[in-house]
Amino acid sequence: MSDYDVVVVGGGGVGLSTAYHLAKKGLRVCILEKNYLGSGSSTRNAGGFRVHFKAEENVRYMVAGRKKLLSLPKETGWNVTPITGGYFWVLHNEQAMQEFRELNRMWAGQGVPGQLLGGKEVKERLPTLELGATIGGFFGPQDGGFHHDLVVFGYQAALRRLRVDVREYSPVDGIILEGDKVTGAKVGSREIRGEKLVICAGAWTPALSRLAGVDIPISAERREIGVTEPIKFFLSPFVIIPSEGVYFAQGLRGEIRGTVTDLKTEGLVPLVSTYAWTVEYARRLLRVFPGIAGVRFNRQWSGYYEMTPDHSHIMGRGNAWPEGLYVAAGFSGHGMMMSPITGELMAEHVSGDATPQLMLPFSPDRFAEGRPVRELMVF
Amino acid sequence: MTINLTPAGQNVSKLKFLLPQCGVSCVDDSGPQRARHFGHSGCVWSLSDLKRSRDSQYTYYAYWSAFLVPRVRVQKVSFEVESGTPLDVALYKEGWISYRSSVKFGRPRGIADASVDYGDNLCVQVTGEGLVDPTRYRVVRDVEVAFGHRATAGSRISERLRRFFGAGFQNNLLMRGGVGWNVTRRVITGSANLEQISHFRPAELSKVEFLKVGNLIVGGGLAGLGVAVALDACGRDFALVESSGVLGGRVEIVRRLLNAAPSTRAPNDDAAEIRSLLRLIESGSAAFRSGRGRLIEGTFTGFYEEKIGLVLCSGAAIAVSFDNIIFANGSRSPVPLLKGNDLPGVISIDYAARLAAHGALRGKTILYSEDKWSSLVGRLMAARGADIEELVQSDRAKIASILGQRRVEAVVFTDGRRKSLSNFVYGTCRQPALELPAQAGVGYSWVAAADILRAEVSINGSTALPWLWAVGSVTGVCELEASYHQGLAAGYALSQDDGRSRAELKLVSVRDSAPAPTTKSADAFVCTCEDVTVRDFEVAAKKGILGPEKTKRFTGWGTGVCQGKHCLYNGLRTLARDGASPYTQRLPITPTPFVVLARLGENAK
Repeated sequence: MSDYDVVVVGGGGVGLSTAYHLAKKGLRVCILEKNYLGSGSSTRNAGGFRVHFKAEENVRYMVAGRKKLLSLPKETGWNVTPITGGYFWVLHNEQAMQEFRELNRMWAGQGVPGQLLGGKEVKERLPTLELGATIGGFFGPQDGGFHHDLVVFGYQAALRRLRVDVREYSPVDGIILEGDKVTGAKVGSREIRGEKLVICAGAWTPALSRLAGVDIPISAERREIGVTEPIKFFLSPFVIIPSEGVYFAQGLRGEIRGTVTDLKTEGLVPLVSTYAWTVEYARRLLRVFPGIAGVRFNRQWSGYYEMTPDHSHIMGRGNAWPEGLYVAAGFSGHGMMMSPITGELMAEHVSGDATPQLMLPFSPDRFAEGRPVRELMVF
Repeated sequence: MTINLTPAGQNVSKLKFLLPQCGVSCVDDSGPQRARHFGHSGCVWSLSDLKRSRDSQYTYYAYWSAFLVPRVRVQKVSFEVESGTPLDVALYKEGWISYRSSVKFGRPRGIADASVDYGDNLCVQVTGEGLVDPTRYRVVRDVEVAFGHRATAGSRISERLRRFFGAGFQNNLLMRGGVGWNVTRRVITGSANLEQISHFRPAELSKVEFLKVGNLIVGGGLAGLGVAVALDACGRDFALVESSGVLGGRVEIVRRLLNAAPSTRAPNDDAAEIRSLLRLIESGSAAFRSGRGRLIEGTFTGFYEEKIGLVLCSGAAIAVSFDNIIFANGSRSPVPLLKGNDLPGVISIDYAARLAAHGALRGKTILYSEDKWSSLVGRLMAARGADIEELVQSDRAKIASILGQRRVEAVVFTDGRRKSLSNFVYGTCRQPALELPAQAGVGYSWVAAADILRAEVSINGSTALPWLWAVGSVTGVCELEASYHQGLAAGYALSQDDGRSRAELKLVSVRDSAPAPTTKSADAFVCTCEDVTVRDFEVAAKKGILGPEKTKRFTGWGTGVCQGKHCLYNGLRTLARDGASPYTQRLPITPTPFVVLARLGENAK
C-alpha cells in the first residue's frame, strides 16, 4: 500500500499547480522540493505572459493558459497582480514585419489577433523610447505581466487548505523501481511511496529522470535579469526590441525589469551575476531608452531556462518509460505563465481520466517520432 | 559660482608642497585638509579625479575653493556653510532633516545613517548636478537645493488605510482578492510619489577606468589597514577601496570629535583609548608610503562572477579585476524595533558622531546605547558640547514608543513618563555590514544567544574559497583593536608568512556581544524602503510564509534601494530563528546609474 497516489517532485509553479489539481480531484498527493517552494526558477523569471508564439500548438496552449492564469485569484484567493498592458514588438526590418504579418493571420485564426503598426505609430505609442529607424511594430493586447511570487504563494495557500503534504528541503536522491513500475522516491534514507511519480523539476529534471533510467532532452541555460529602482509608472506594455536583443517592462512598484535575449551560459552553472551581462544590458537599454541614464540599477539575479531541442515543453509520459513515471518540464523560458494550465492538464492525465488534446503535441516521444513543435519565439 | 584659475607659479609650488608624491592629482573638494591626510600616498583616485581626471585646472579650483564660503539655498532660505561641508550636515544644521516622504505611505523620513544608500526619492536636487546623494555631496560652491517628492494625495490616503490593510507592498489586502483590481492597480501605480522619468537628467559622466590588482581590500578601517600593512610588508601589490574619503572607519569619525572637544572635557580614559586606536590607524596609513598599494576613493558595489568588482565614484566607475578579495567593511548599529523608529531624527550613533563632529547635532539628544563603544562616543559628543543624555538600561527596556509628527519629538515610557527630545540616537549591538561579503559568497548565520550575525570564516579570515577573505567587525567575531590584528594575520597569511600570521592571531580577542533586546513593537518599521513593519512579518507567518527568502518575497523586506543594509538584522531578529541565514544578497549592493554601467559596456567593446 502506498502512502500517496501521486508524488510530485519539484515545488515550483508547475509542480505546485499539478499537485493542487490532483489534490482537488481527491487524490493523496505529496510534493518533494529540495529547497523552499519556488526556489528554483519560479521566483527568478521576468513575470510576463503571452499568447503570441510561433508554433500554433503553443498559441493554442497559451490561449487556454492565459485564461487559467488570469482566473487564478478566484481559485487560490491570491491576486497574481496582472498588468494587462500587452506585448510590444518594435521591429526594424521588413523581413520581421512580414513574418509578423503572416503570424498574425495564424493568431487571428486562434482568436488572438494583434495590431500591426507603422513606424510612426510605434513612436507615438512609445514616446519615451529612442527607437531609431523603426519601420513598425506588433502589439499583442492579450499579453501582459504578472507577479510570479504570488502564483507560488497562492498555490502554497491552496495546498495548505487542501492539507496536501508539502515537504520542503527534501531533495530526491533516488527513484524506487519495482520491476518496470515506479513506486516512490528516496529522500536520504527515507522512502516516500506513491503509485505515480511526476517530475516537475525544471532544469533539474534530466538528473532526476535518469534515476529511473530515462533520458529527457532538457538542458539548462543560465540567463540574467535585473530591475531598477522605482520610477513613476509610465510604461504599460512589455517591450521587445529584437534588433537590439533587449526586452523590458515596468512592474507595479515602478521598477523597470529587463534583460538581453542573447547572453547566456550553458549548464547548471552557479546562479550568480556576471559583469559582462550587466554592462551589456545597460549599454543596449540606454541606447533605446536614453531617459533611463540617471535611474539606478537596483537588483539583478540569474535563473535557468530549461531548454528542449524544439524550445517547447515536454509533458506526459513516454511509451517506453517505467510505468507510473510522468514529466512536465522543459518550458524553455515559459514555465511560469504556463504553470496553471499545465497543472490542470497533468492532473487530468495522471489521474487517468483522460489525455487532454491540448497536451498531445508535447509528448516526450515527439522527438523520436520526428514531430517537434518548433518554437522560435523564445526571448 | 565657478572659478577658473590658470596655473601660476606660486600656486603650483604650494600644491607641490601639499602633494609631494602623488602620481595622479589627489585633491578633491575638501582641499588642503585631505591633501594632508593622504599626503604621502602613492596614488589616490578620488571621485573628482575621475570626473575631471588629470585636469590641472580643476585641481587648482578645488584647492582654492577651500577658501570660499559657499551659500546653500533651500526653498528661498539661504545660508552660508564652510566649504567642503557635506550637504546633509549643512542641511541638518539648518533644521532641514525631514526632507523626503515615504514612497508608499507619505510618512516623513530622514537620514538615519550615512552608510545607507538613498533612493532618488530621498536624494535632493542640486542645481547643475541633478539628483545627488546628500551624504556624499560636499558643498564647495553656491548651490540651490530642491526637495521633491512631497507625499501625493494617494499616498496620504494609503497611510490612513495602512492600519486596516497592513503596510508593505505586496501584503496589502486590497490586492488579494482580485476584485476591482484594475482600479486598485491605478491607485497603487498613481499614488506612489516616485520620480518621473522625464525629470531625470543623465548624470554627468565621467570616466570609466579598468584596473587589475593582486589583492583588493574593501574598507579602510582598522581591519582593512591591518591587511594593507601586512601585504605591504611582504611586498604584495594591493588596492584598498574606501568610500568615506578618509581612512580609519568609525575611529576616524571619533578622532574629529576628540580634536574638536576642549581637551579638559574629554574623559581621560576615553581619550586614551581613542588615541591608542588612532596610533594603529597612523601605522596603518603608512602602508601606502611605499607606493605598492593604491587607495581608491569610492564605493564597492559588489562582486561579479568574472572576479571583477565595481567601484562607484561620484558619477564614475572603476572596474577592478583581482586575484584575492578581502572584505573589511565593518559593522553598523541597526535601529531598535520601537514604534516610531522611522521618524526623522532617529539616527545611528555613527551618523550622530558625524553630525556632532561638524557641530550639527543640535537640541536635546537621547542616546539609546547597548554597547561600550556607543557609550564612549556619547561621552565624547557630550564633551564636544552636545546636549546628550544616555538612557540607563532599565529605561531602555521601558520605552513604549517614539513620538513625533514631522520629526521625532518625544519618547514615551511604559510607566507613562515622557521625555522631549530633538534627536533619538541609537547605538545598538553592532552587526556586521555583511551585504558585500555575503554577496561574494561568505556564509552568515544568526546566533540568537549572542544576538548577532556571524560569518562562517576561520579565525584568520579565510573562507572555503582561497581567494575570498573577510576580516574585522564584518565577520561579527572581533572589532576595533582586535580587527587590526586579524587584518594583519590575514595579510600575512595571504603572503604565505604563517609565522607572523600566527603571532598576530594571538592578539585577536573575540568581541563580547550584548544579549538580545526584548522590546519589539508590532508597529516598528523593519524596512523603511518598502515600508515593512513587524506586523507585516506576523501576517506573513500567519499565512504560512516562513523563512527569510519567502518573507522577503512576500513583504518586500530588503528589496528596496538600501539593499537591506538597514533592515536585514531586524528582519532576521523578527523571524527569530537561531541559525537562520540571511536571504541571498543581490547585486549591485549600491544602486548604480545606468549611464555608468553603459559606459563600462561601451568601453568593454
